[in-house]
Amino acid sequence: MRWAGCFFAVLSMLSIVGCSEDGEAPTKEDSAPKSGTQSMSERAMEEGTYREEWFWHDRLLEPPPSAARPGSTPDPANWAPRLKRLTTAPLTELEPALEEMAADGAAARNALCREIDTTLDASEDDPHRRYRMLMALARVNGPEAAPTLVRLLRDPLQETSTLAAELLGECDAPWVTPRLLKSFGKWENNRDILTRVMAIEALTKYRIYSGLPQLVALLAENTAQEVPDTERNWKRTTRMAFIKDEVRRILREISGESYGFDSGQGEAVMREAVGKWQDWWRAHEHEYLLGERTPHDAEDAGLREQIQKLIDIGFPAFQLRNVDNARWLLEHLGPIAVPQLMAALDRPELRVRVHAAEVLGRIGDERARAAFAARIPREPEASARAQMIEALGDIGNEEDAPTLTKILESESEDTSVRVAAALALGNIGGDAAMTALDLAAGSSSDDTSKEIAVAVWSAKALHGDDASFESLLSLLASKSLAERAQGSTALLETFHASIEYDPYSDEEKRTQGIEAWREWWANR
Amino acid sequence: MNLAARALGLVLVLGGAAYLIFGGEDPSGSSEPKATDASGKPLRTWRSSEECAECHPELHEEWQGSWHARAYTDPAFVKQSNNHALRDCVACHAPRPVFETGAGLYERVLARADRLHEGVDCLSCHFLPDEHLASTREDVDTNAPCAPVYVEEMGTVEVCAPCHNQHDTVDEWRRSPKGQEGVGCRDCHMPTEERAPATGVAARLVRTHVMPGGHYPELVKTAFEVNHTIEEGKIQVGVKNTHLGHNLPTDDRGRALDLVVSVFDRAGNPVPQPEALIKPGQTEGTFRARFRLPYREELINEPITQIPPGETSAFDWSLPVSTGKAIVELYFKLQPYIPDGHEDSTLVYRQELTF
Repeated sequence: MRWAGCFFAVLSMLSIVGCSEDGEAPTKEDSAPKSGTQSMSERAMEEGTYREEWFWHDRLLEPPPSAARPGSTPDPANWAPRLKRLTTAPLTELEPALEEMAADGAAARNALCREIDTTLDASEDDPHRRYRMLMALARVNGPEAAPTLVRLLRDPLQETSTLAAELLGECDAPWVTPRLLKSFGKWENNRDILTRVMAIEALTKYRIYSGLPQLVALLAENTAQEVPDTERNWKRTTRMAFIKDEVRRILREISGESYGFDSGQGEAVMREAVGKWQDWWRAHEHEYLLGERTPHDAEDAGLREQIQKLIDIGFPAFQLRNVDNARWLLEHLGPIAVPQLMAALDRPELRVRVHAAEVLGRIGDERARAAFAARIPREPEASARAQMIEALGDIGNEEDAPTLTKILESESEDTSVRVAAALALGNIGGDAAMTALDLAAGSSSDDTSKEIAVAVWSAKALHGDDASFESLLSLLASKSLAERAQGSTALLETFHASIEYDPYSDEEKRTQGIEAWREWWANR
Repeated sequence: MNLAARALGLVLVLGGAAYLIFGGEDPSGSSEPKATDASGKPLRTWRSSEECAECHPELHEEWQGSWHARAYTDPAFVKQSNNHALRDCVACHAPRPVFETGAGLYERVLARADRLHEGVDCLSCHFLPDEHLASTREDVDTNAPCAPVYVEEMGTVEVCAPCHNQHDTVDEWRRSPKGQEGVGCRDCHMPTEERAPATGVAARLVRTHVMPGGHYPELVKTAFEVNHTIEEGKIQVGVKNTHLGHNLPTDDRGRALDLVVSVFDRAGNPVPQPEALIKPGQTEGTFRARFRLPYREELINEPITQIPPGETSAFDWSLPVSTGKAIVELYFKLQPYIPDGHEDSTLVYRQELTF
């Protein structure tokens, strides 16, 4: 530690004579609000595109410039007759037309992509013609096709969006992964379960497995899909069975297990198989999300560019929906995004540092621990320190308990940071963390300590400590409205249980709430 | 390099040397010198709104009863945030001080890590990064225990915007006549009352901190006018946003205003709405319209039907019977998912018409 002090002093000397460590270390001044800049909302409003602005976060995922298609310019005179044959041929003559296109390889790819893009730009309402071209594109797929395939994820024809998702997994363009995530995630108005399934499978081709829990959940789904399949006139239940067969195929290819699941079998057999798949996912979740099969660095410059956009544009964004979008996508990109998120911890913008720490915690990648250890001691803002500490708790490595204990015990530290340290120790658990929490629980009780004491009770209650739970519960019975609010918030924050207790309600209802909590604790 | 930077360097050297000598192990890095008041005394560090009650008991009590104070403990919020599991909501329901990240129409607050139960608290709006507290008064007593200082933005829309423009309310205001005239948020939501602003201080006009809004049906009732006529077998209904400085209703997700017209035949039998138009939770009446800003991706499929300030949304429906009775009602819902007839669906207008 004294060497660190020596380094600190030398570093400071350098700053006196006009040097600095890297010239970019954030300060409070750096974090100060900037004024006078026109926001995207403001600009959009003036330009009359205000309502479109609600979805500007979509533009974060536009193909990066590096994804521009190289190659020769297709000659329309040469391709037009063949495209016409392809798109108008009766089904019996379709195969030769597809073969004819495939024979031209990369040149056909360029021609098909250009023609598909043209129909999309013109909002041409002939999705079936586009689907034919996509069928041909499937035979000459490659990274150059990715920008077009991304656009086709939104095609009104379900077959097209589904096939586009499948082909995105085979075109060797990792930069499409954020867009694929979006196509099965919470931000898209998903019309077709099969498109989501294919997007999840495509992501696995880039070794991103965060969609697998959705597939396992889909196997357990009993309700038929709400969207009727007008194209093939299948019965909904038949279609759901088909989708489940696809899911089973994907899971079997990834895991090598099938558990005898067959959608044509009886309910009991299916339930048993689904249970085994759920067990399989629980057993392998960590391995798939964070293990060796997931790449730690993405070589694809386009993907790095997409990730950087999410950090640079999404994190400082004014509207929280854009921040949420960026956070969600980065969280689901997982370890691939970690190196750039770690670098973002040193950014001058406070919001970028806070949200980078938040996402690193949600991803839970161990590599972030070293970045936090380096950053926390020189982080000037309490909000960022607290977030980094919370993230350490989310990662949950017991080796961080001593660092967190020092922060919890540091009386000169901001209360919010100490509270975060207590809660992080609770999340980490283990002997060292619990000892630190026990010691903190016995300290004095001025106003600051009360806040920390509640955090310590929460952390200990999380590990089943009856006395701590009773301490929290006693707050609910307090005559002080503030204490009741504090107690109920702490209980909900810790357990997220659906217990109705409103600190503002009358005494009778509050008593019922306290009893409900007591019963929940007894039966948890 | 300027003088201030060199002075900072010197402080760092001394700090580093002290660290070297005394082996300090505080990992926080929070070794900055404390800010001082006019007499050079270090400022008290404010940690909770509870501390404000020491000198401002009335204002504190008022705030404690407000929906700002309940922003995090409100049962409806608890439910919508999945019992506080969704962290994305914390930033505006328990924000760190606005001035930490900056007041402005397109600024945004960060989430607090502690005292979440205090919701939008005193410090959220008044606390300054240098530990002074922000006041709207140029003649503020800077020797008061909380060392308040005048801050130009305090009390302006720019302090409300970091949260309330997340769902467009402040932009709606900017486009409105009230926004053009410079009538701000506090002119409607923080009226004045004559009373002592702090213990031992003479009474004067003080802004209240109840912040009434959508939770106050009596206030909602003053926001609009309804016009209706029945002519030539048609009922025409118009709802005009007469008084608001923002859309009616404002805010997405949380608010909906339902216009319900129930037609009865001469025998008093209700004429139901066509089956195809019935939506979950919206089952009453013969005709109906909803005023609302759809939530996020709902915008893809649903139109924006809010009523901008000064504008009227009008409807023209053919009556299904030639004689009878029509009842025109407006229901204000704090959440659009509240079904007809629920206790939280508040009737804010009702008129019976015979034809």
